Amino acid sequence: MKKNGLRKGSGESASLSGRFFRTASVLLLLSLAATPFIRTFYARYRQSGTLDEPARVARMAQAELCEHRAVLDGGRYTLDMSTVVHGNTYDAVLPGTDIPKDPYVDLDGSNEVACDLYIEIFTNAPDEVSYTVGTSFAPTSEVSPQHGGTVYKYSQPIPPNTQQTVGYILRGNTLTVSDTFRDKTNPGKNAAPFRFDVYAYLLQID
Amino acid sequence: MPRKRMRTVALAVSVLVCLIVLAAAVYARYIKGSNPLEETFTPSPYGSPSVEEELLTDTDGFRYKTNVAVRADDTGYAVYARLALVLTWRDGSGRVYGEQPYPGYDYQLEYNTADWRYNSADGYYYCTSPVGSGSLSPAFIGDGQKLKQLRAGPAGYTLHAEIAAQTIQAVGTTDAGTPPLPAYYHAWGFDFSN
Repeated sequence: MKKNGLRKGSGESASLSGRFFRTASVLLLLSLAATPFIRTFYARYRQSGTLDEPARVARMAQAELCEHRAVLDGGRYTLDMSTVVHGNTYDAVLPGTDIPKDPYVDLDGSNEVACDLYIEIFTNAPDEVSYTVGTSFAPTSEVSPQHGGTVYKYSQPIPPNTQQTVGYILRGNTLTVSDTFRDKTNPGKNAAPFRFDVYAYLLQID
Repeated sequence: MPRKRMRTVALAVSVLVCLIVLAAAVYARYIKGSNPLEETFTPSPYGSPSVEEELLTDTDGFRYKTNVAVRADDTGYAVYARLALVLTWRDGSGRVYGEQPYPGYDYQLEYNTADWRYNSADGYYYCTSPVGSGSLSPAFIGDGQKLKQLRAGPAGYTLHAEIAAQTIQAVGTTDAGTPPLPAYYHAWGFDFSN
């Protein structure tokens, strides 16, 4: 039919299709952009009961993984409790010894929402090197390993704005090396270095 | 009609995707990671100790060893050391005579009894204190002491004194046992600390 002297044809139809697709694309982009703000509104509304501040991403606490410096003396390691480091190097692992290692998480208390703390441990140590995770941590599948390790959940949620230190990630703060770790008749046994990595994650609680 | 249906379908899919994203946004949770604690553990190497000594000639023409001590390998850990003395009569070709030299008759040994203990069960001399990595043990034969030939041997044979050293980690215990045994005791079967 005619409209304003023009026949309604393929040109006008193509324009309408394009307009629909543009509209749909804009809606999709707006939805993606609104994701953090909507979540923030949701969290803050549940927490405070009112919306009295402009919407923004809820602040999470700074989680810092630390441990004390390991000192080698004559083949035995001890911890220097006066020095905090973000990693040690163990160059002399001997059979029949305990290696002191005390990783812990420092939380600065800047989290605006309650969080759960997760620890991931990755190691390729041989069977002759053993450790036990602290009793405050339990294996969990709530968070997928990010580094190929095993994830453990801390038993206590971290309340909002709570500064605290979470220690005893390893029971007894020790790795135990068996007296069969090496074999002089088989020099190649456990001759290669191995890794022991720890990671920490905070996950906001709904 | 097909075009109109296509537009309707496109709009419905867009709305559906938007709803899914919004739902995910409501239930998505923020996760934050810490700095990593990534460490490498290196097994200690086996050490190869060496014996340091002086070989001198006495006024009577017989030779003697003095200032004998064990040098621990530079492995990063302290060790306990023990020595074995192997004394033989040998000819110029290295052939060993059928009889052993006798202590006090063919040769004399003066050694540092304050720091070294003799175990008659296995014939070794044990240093009673740990030797630091790369360090020298207390002298087994000190300055002024001698491992010395006293008389001539069989014709064509001379006295040979070889000192062989072994070391073992000074720290560490067995997994089992009440109490667990020190590494040196478990390996050598001699508690020289008593």
